[in-house]
Amino acid sequence: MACRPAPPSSSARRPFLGVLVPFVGLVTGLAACESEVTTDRTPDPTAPITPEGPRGDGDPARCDPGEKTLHRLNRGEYHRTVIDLLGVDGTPANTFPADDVAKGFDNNADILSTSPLLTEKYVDAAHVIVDGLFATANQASTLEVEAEELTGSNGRAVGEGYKLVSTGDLTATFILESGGRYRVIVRADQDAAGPDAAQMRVSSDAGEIGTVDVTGLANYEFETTLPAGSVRITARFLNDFYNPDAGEDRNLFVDRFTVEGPLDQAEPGPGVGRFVTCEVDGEGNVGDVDAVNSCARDALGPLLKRAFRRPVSETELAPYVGLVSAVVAEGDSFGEGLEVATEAILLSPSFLFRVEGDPDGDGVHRLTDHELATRLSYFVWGSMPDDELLALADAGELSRRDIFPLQVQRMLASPKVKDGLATALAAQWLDTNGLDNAEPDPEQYPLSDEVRIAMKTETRLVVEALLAADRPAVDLLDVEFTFLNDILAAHYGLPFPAGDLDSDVDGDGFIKVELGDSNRRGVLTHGAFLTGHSYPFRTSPVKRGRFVVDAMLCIPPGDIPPDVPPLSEDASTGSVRERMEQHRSDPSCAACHAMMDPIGFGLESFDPVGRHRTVDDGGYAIDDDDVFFDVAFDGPGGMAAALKGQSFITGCMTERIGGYAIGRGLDSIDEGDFCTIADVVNRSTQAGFSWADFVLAIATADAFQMRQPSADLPAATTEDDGV
Amino acid sequence: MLIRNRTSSPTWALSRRTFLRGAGAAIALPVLDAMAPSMARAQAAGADPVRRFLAFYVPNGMHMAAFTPEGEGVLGALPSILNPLEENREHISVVSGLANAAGFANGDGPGDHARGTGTFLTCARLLKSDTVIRNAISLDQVLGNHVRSRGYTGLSSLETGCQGGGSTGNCDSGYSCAYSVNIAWAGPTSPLPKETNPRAVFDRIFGGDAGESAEARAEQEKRRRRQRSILDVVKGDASRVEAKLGSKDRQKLDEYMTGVRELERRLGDDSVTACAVPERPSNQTSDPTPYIQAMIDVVVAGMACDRVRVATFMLGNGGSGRNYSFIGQNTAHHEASHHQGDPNKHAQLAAIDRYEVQQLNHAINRLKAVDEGNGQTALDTSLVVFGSEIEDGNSHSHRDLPIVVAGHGGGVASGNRHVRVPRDTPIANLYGTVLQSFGAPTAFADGTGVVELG
Repeated sequence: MACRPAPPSSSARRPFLGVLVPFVGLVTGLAACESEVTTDRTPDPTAPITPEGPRGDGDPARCDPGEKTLHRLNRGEYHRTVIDLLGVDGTPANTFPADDVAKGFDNNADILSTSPLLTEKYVDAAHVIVDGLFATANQASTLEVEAEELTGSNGRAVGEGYKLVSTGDLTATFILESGGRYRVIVRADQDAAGPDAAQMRVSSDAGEIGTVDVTGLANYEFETTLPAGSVRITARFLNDFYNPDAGEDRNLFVDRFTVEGPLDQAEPGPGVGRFVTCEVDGEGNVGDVDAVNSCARDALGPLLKRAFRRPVSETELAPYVGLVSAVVAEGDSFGEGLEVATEAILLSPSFLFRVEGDPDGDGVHRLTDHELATRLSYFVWGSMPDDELLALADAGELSRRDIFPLQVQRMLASPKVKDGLATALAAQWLDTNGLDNAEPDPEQYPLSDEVRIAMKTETRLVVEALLAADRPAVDLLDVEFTFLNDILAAHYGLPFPAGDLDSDVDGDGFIKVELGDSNRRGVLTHGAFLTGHSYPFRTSPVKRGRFVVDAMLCIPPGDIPPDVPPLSEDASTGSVRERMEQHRSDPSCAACHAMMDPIGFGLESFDPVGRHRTVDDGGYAIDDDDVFFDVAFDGPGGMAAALKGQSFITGCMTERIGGYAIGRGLDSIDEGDFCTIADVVNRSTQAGFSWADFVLAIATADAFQMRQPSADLPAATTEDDGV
Repeated sequence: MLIRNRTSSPTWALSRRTFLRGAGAAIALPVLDAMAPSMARAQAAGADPVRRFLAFYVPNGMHMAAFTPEGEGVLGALPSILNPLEENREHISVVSGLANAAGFANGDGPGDHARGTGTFLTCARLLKSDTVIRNAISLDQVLGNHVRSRGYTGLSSLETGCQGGGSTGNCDSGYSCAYSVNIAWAGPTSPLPKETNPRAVFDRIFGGDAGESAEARAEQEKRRRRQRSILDVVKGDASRVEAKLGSKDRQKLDEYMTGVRELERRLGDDSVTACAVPERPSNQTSDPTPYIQAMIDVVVAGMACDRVRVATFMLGNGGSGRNYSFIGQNTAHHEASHHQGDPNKHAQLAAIDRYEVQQLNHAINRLKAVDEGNGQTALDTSLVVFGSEIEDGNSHSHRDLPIVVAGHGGGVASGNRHVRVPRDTPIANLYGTVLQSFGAPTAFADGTGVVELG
């Protein structure tokens, strides 16, 4: 059991620096670990990817896998799962309350709770999702988009609408289940100025629908032919007029977009073609009771299996079939019955929760292949297993050592990584989500929504590129390229090689840019990180440093002792850095700040919205040299290299990203988790520590492949240990 | 429906209206004219008198020097922060001296914002962890359970706020974000997330209204029947799943099934009285004052229609760093609250705190405009507890909490009072007073009695 170096006692965790000890122990424990892990691999290719453990008595685990609580799909997982399951579009989970975050990620099964509010949202979402999925032909409807919920190419939301203040576009997107003639209504108004009325041109992807003079608040109606699928309706303000001297400013105000139709014959909902195998007539009927039952069973059986991510029994299927026959018996259509049954599927615990069973009492045991497929799929794709994974699970082959790694490889190469692991790493581990909470002062540090969105995209694209690259995962910290669009390049003051747009294969306007001799390198010099960890009126080396120390070194930040003198906000007394130096001169502050501040100081050449600068707001020259863990560095590139050189960064990545993969907090202080982290670091490092190596090492860890039966919930702590 | 738009919120939020489309549900009337049907309903049923509760949470404490009135008994001159309440002084009681001992560090070290916020309405010791949560049931939930057990059929409780939660990591010194963004807790591991979009709150309260047309009513009845069948199937699946689970997992599942049962209960309620539904609010959240006031308005509108009796409102999350430049204070709230005695920061804080009190005053005026019948307004029947997780941003103390009670709670508070309680009186005693006004047992958490509001 050399592979399970004993973790330090919990007392070693405090004071502050004590938390480093587990990872130091981890690094030194690796050599001992190697021989055991590598030699007990069995050569049989059909054997499970994880061999029997050394703990004896049929216990398959080398490391205690730990307890995993019943796991509710979080908001993003629900969204992607519904889309993959039913092939519908939209954002049904957008109105769900945000999921709480633990150790950087919002998929911690212990923290994910289910409130009555969320239950209501599930009911509403299920109804909307299936509405029309199995509809019969020729049901017209009315769709509205409120303009204030959109973002135009200029202007802003004003009250109940959106004001385009100069020539530009406002676009609403509709999903049409069928093509045909539609009525397009734009409710609009103008701020009158100058000789002419505001001109509005309304167009779809197919071209202009019509142009009108907007003379006052009214519905401007058009009729046009629209295709099925995603349709963008754009209102363009054509004739801006602005005379500042006279205080005259013509604007176009859009209140609402409405699409009504189809006005002619329409196709049935997509669910019928996708899931129904029997004959359905024009009214959506399939015949007598037996035909209804058999057709419902054929349609719902495969759907239920995919929704529950495992085989389902006849007993389980019967109630859903019963819902269909009940609706048909009431005189409504078969399609409507399928809608009701599908609604029930989307509300079933087996769909909403990732259920893992404990069939044989209390021993540590392997997941079933279906449970494993589900864990793997939510780890890499953030969504349900696809047909290939389910088929391998059905055959009991997914966990085979000759198959499992190939599946991980296949999944990493899939475009679904973008919305899954790449987004999770960028938005959560690297906290580009934090940008949503940043409120840079609009006067001093203006930041448009377009730039905010582009900043998040930049980090996600860099992560995506590195996930696919055969280079060390930690290169994230000083990678020599990034992805920019014209808006972000302008914000950064970097040249945008528009000629390279040919390389923009997915057409999102972002292209790969080599950073050359600019001082940007790696994700910590991305606008999203820099802006998300600043104050409204100045940078915060502490916020920036504190986040990195926490997220990448797993050293939890201490809190400010109550009697710390405030940082003077008076810029005349020195640069932010000079004013902050006292943190390190005061011993009670030094323990934390000696670690956090250098990272922040190394990034001082980026202002509160991530633009490069050579002097700070007070006019002081930027000094971005410092020393981090005894390594002297010069500027952001040097800081990133010093950070990258920390041996325990890989342990911390495993703790955080491994926790995301499994859906529970890993803690190096826990013996089983420490064993897991050491094992993953060891095997990834041997393989070269590319992202692919790292993901596979996590997915083949005992804590990922196995399960310790869940135990009882400990009693709540109460106030009796209070005052 | 064959078409669906992609921009999410409009259609999705409207779902419950979708199946009732064309019902002519919303009658546009200003909130002030809304006649509350609650009294008639309560009297008809011979039930308890209507009582309402709103927890009005504000982050980062108060600048106490400009908050605490002089003397005690009848309210004297209102200090600058409380001054916006002058027009409503006869409806408010300022309470000084309350403490929330569950917020004390007692070996758990820093994290007063998360600790104070998580325990604001629970008065329970929190488990300090960012991966496991343990709290206890909050006052609003006790009240919600009480009114439901007494036959009330509206929403058991409503959780609202003007700062979203959940999107970013460790919230305060090793405490889970769940503690700093949620004051309402159904139980130890069940925070109740708040709705932060006024339009979504509106849809939750009023979205099911079928209006008067017989066709729409029939459609609604069919829909309800089908939803009940759906929930029966869901319960069947749940019991099969449950059989496979350990008790900890069963508790996770039960959180969901609690919501399912709550929904069934409401589906079974046909007694919802017709009500003049106010205009559906905008869902803009970028302009703070209209946003905050739209949220308050929709909560009060729900009370006016008696769809809601118990609600919580978080103006911000625990330790909020809201940028207050929109009222001319160029600072983030939390940063300013660490004032270290700096007079400039004191001035900034006083302005921010005063702004928060102005929002309380807005809520008071709204409640005052709701006619409960019998010559009473919702202010007569309600108690609003306005308070924060700490006393002051510098001290981070959980003693001498800044508390204003607005409304009369059916007679438990006469108003125009400054009540000084002995130092370290549990805030749970004030919650006992709230429970008393509801006719519920007054024992709560570490409470030792009730606070006499006079």
